Amino acid sequence: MLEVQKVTFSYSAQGEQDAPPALRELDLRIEPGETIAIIGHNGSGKSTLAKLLAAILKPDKGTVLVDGLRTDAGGEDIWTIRQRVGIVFQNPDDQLVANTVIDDIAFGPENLRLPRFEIEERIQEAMALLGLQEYAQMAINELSVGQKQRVAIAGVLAMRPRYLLLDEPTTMISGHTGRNLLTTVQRLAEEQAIAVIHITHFMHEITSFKRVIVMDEGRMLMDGTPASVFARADELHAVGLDVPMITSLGKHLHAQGWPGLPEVVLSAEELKAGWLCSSN
Amino acid sequence: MLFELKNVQHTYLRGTPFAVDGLRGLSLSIQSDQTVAIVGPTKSGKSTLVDVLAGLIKPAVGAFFFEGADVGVPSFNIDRIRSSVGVVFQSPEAQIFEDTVGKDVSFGPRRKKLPLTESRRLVQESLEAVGLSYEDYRTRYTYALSGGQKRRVAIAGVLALEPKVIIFDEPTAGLDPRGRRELLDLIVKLKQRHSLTIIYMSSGLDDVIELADTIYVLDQGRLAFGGTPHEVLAHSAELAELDITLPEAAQIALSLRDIFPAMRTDVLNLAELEEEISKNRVLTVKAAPAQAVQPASGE
Repeated sequence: MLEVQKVTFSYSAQGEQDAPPALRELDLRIEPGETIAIIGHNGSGKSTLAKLLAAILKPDKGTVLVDGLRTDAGGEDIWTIRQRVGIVFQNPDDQLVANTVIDDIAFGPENLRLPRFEIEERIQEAMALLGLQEYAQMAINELSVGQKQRVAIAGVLAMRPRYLLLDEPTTMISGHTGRNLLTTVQRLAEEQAIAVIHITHFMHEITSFKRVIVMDEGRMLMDGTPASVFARADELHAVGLDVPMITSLGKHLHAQGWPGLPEVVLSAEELKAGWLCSSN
Repeated sequence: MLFELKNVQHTYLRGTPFAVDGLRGLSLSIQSDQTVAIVGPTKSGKSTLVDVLAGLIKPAVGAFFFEGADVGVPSFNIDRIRSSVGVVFQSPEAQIFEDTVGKDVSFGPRRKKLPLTESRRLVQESLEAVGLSYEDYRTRYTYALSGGQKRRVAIAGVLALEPKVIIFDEPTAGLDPRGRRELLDLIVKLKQRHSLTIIYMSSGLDDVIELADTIYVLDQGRLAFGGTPHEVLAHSAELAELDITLPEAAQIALSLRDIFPAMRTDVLNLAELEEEISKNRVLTVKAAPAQAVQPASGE
């Protein structure tokens, strides 16, 4: 379990004088195997939360626990924490370290000092999961951003984490490629019972998550299902977020007597289903 | 015509094993005072086109005209393009290099050796134009700015060069919905106030569908198709093939064809989508008796 207990964090210690707290007395629990989307505008504290969960940052006040281990305890625990919590950044160039695809994926397992055969097994598995086999020997700098992001995710999965943090991983990948990548990762995580914590400000990316957390000014503003979050459209607008167009459309059509609509529409499928139901 | 490209080809690192085709026979034209969007997936040639339009490279093959003058002839002074065209790059960090906002924005005017009062006026006007107060921001450190503020400073730095054309290279990448909305509004405002030509490079249609007068879609260094936003949306199958997602409204419209076969998919926004849905609801209700008979006779 990931536990955030009354955590306050500010970047003022990092040389930014008078920086307001990025997180304010935040409480949060994430169970193993859960899939959560965390949304908020730029500066709401969502990326800071990810870095605290990954033990990249330590809280000023309060405690962050990974399976009961404190991220600020020091000592050997930090390696256990780093292995259990994997993080994928916005820009894959920030986390790719080797020259070729296979070497990059091997980097993590090699540093765990695993036996050779197990390293090999993990590399092959991670490459297969993300469809990278044919790229194994390719140079990282010849890959597109989407392919690089796949390599970054494969490298993290090769560590066999229990928790996977995705910090706006599709920002640099357009179109279906980005969407497909997200779907792939969600499916993989579900198969392997890895918890996924997906950080984004794209509302259309969160409809498939069971739990959504909305952050604002370093605090948790909402915690619930996508439908319960989108039902509060006015509050979302007030903190600089939108609801998906399909939800706004659903609301208008509901008022105009479109048949069989749920209160909060999340997909065009729901519109179609309501229509077909009533016309048959 | 402001820019005209005819069969322009450009290969980087030509003659080496690393040769990359940026442009492979691109023809298009850009009119003054328009907002033109260039849309294409990665490696479609967008970045090379930015280099050509900004006068950073002369295309190796093909004809390139700027304000009617042939850029390819030796007598053409490339500075004519460079002093008319400003570029706002994708990551604002890439073009902010001074330690304070004032120094950064005044870099261009200082390079032009303008008198101090003139330079100060330009810096002040440029900062105010992007919504940053001159008094508040002049002495601020550039490294301590937020992403959105850095983007504004980068734009102010370009405005201080008094360009006729500004090229924006994926300017909203990484911004949240509000930041994106504000930046797009700013671009519209700047265009009107400074009578600029805007060239907007984008990998998707979402930002440009309501902004652009003309959209050109690139594919592997060539023009795939182009036209008004409505015309471009009519190419939904080709767009899908190029991995360019439709804007939300058009996507919903396309999906609703299952129940409304006559549904038009070239809708730019929620209002157009709702109008199209109302029309089709009326059509379907009128057609309903006929439809009700069909399944019965089929079974």
